[in-house]
Amino acid sequence: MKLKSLFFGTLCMLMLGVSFTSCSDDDDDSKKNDEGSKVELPENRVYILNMGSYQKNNAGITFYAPNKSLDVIDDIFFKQNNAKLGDAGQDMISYNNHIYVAVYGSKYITKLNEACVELKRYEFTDEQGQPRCMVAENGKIYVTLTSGNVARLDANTLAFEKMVAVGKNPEGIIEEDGKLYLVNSGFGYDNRLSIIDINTFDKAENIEIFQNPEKILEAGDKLFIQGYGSNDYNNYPYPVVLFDPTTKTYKEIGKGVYMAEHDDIVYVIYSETNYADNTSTHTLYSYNAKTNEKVEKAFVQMPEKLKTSIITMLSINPENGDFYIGAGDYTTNGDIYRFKKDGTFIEKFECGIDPKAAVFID
Amino acid sequence: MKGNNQAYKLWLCLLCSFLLLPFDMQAQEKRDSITGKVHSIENVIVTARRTPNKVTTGSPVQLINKEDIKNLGLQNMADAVRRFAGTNVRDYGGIGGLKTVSVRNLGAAHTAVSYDGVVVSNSQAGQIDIGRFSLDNVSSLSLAIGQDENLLQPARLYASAGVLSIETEKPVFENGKSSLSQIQIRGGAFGYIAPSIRRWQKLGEHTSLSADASFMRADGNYPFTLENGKYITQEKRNNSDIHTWQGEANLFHTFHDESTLDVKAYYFYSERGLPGAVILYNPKAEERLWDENFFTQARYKKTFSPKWTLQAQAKFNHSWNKYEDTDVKYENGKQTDINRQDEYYLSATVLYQPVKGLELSLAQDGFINTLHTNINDSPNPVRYSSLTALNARYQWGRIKLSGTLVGTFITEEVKAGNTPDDRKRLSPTLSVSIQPWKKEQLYVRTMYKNTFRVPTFNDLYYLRIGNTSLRPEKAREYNIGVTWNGKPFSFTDFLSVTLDGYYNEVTDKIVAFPSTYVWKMQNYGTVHITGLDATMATSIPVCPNINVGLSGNYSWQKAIDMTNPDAKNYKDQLPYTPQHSGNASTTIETPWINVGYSLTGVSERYYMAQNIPVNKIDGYVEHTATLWREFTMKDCHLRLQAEVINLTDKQYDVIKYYPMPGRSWRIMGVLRF
Repeated sequence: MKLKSLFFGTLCMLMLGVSFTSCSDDDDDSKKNDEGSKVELPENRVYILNMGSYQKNNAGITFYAPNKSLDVIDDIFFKQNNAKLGDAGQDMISYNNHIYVAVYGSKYITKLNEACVELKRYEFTDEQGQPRCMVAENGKIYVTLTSGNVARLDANTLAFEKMVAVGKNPEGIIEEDGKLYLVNSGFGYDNRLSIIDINTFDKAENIEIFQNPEKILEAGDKLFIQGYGSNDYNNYPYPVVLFDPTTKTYKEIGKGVYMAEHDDIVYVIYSETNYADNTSTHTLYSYNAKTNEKVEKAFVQMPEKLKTSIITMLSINPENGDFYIGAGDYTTNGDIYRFKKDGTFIEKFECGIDPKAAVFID
Repeated sequence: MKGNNQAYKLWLCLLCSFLLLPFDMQAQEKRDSITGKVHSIENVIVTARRTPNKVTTGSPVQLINKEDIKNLGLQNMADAVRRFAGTNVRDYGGIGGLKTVSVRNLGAAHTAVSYDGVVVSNSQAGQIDIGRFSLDNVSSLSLAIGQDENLLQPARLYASAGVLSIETEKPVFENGKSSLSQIQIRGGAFGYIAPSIRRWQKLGEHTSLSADASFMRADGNYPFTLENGKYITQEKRNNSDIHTWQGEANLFHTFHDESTLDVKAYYFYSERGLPGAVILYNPKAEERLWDENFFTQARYKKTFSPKWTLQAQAKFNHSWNKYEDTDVKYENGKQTDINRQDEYYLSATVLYQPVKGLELSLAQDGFINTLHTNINDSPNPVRYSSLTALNARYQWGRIKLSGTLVGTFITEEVKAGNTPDDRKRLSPTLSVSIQPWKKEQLYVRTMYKNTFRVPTFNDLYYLRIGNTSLRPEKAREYNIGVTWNGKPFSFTDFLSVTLDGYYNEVTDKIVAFPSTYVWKMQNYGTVHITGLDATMATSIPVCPNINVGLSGNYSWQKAIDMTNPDAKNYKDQLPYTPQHSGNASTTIETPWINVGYSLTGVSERYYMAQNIPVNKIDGYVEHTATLWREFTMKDCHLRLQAEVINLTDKQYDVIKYYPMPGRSWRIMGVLRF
């Protein structure tokens, strides 16, 4: 079997002129589609999308094995594809045993297998603009675009199908109950939530919320929206609001810059920077979407270093509730701090510059 | 021909052993030299054509004169400046790409650029794009680390960590002529064409006029190789076109009392595409920039008595630029930024020489800077600056002491938002030069300078990230060096060597500091810079008609980030700082044809703050070769020149993802009559 696969691999290499060295995953018990992988990866995988620095083409994907059976791989995208991911990794999601990455500066989205081998790519046109955030539903990928549109792409082929005009510079997008909800930042000058019926996908309903919203998530059939809350850059209030899709009204639940959801509980981090000594302080709380109970208690026990670091990501492994908090200074490599569901610190590992999103493969 | 051969071998040998002290070579037969008279070594100040450094100054001062600029085929100001030891030129590639100079890694904002004695300012960005200045009418370029020795200068020139001085040509009328005209045309690869005209006119016994005008255009779309793992592609630099109009007129007048008045008017206009960084998989580049600059400046100089001299200067500067980007992400598909800066400047300096050996001067500058932008709620700041410089120099036998104290007072007004606090600071400089032996042109020099840079308008007010509570960024320089000039071998006209070691500190460095969501300009950063600069120059008359000039320099530098012991880049070498860099050039003058050849090399660098392999960029050596000849028919001189730039077609970046052009050519014809 091994010989056969090796032979097949060599043949692939000769035929395609691509430098695959082996197709070694054929012979283990992996249910994963790892075709073309240059490394044998464990079943459980965590991928961290590193945004990289502005115009430095140093976005990448860090591989981490939660069971520590394999060392961290700095940039598995480069390792698997022998090409860089590009400029500004913006968003990464998993869907139907594949990974989708939106690369903002390089203006494309890519479809990877679960070993980060690139399968397909769609490059947006100048008119379509640059991709920001994605959500997948019913075999489609929906992408917010800087042009003020949401694009629908076929999740399998990545063929562009259609786009719908929304507000200015849309950011976070989710799907809930047959509708797409997305927020429009307008780079500070928009204040609307857009709602699109996913079946018709023809027009958006825009509802005014607060100024400069950025992120949106769903928990317990409720929507939570986070953003800057103003365009006075000296005094951003950073609200987190709970939006009721039925009444189309919202109420603020607190301040926050990052939020993540697990088991209908929303976890929020609010950070403040003290410019006198250039350190950050973080306030953590959680909000139960079912009971509307807010627990103003840190949900993780932060190591000392993290307490003053700049946080760039909060992600939760949906399988086991492990928290992954990314920190960095945007110029050197970041760190990911991993905590158990109960908040105890497990370990930290290094990733690339500006960790932005995580995908968990179990 | 035997002699020629020997000389050739010797030249090669010297070229190879470039910065090492010359080997004990076989003495060569002493030759007559046609240039012997020029290369006078008896004088304290060496005026030799190819001596790129002043050996007697307490602070390192390096020079490039117009012959070297032309004979080496130097392409632009950045190309010339990077030949100075200790400079760090950031070149974003191509003709229109931004080019800034930083002395010994203190940062571009710590390096003043002066144009015919008056500082060129940019209160908005703090750094000067030296690529804008034409080399065509430059008579000399000098780089002073610290400051040069002239005490009759405006206060501003004492206030920076380093000064790049651009001096333009003054009219010289030979053989009783009263005018001179020059027509020049240059052409080259990537659609480059640059015609220029000059007229020098005597208007009277004591008055002359010079006028220069030039146009330049280039497509600039040079090819480059892009390497991205398995993809090695041939690309073109898109959106790199540029055209500029440039002109200046100078009036020189000497009054009956021997006082002099120079008046200059300068105009520059350009439109260019900004190719931006090469972004993988996304070739879109639609940014454009329009620049306009007009200034007029006057300098009056009067010697009242052997003891008292006065120099007064005035300048008005107007600069305007428009930046435009076309992209669907902007409202109406377009972003347009317009900036207008004006400066009103007055300066007076009095030099007093009470006794032999002692010179005192007091310089007082006052200037107003304004900025208007089209951004909503722009604070439209107005800055009032006063600089006072007290200088003293004392020569006691073979010991020379210099000291300067600059007092700065700055106050600002804004239309909206916070006003920064007034700034008051004193900046001292001290230097000593000692000549241990009377008969030997050997000098030991040491210098201390403490300067600062005020936050720029962008640092203070730039949309979102500006911070009006910034403190000035401080720089301290320590230098110790030894210089020597002599004629150690009979086959050389002269040999000049300098070696300087230095230590610099930058504290309260102004950087964009990130927080969770918002970046803000902060005084966050400490940098320690240790380095060594070595320069050498020599001239060898190979035979009566053949002269070989050699010069070169080498710099070693360790510039490390000392900001935060917990940071991953703590004590790491700063981005774009090679540990080793240097250049070498030679000119060979023969009766038939003249050759210039130069190389510039830097070792590997990091393009990000963290010194890890993935952030490394390769070093490079770039070669440029020039051939030229001058023909003279009566009063007509015709110079024809051909240049090959990047002879080995080396693909390199000075700034990562801003590729530099590969091999290219230029030709030039200059007719002077």
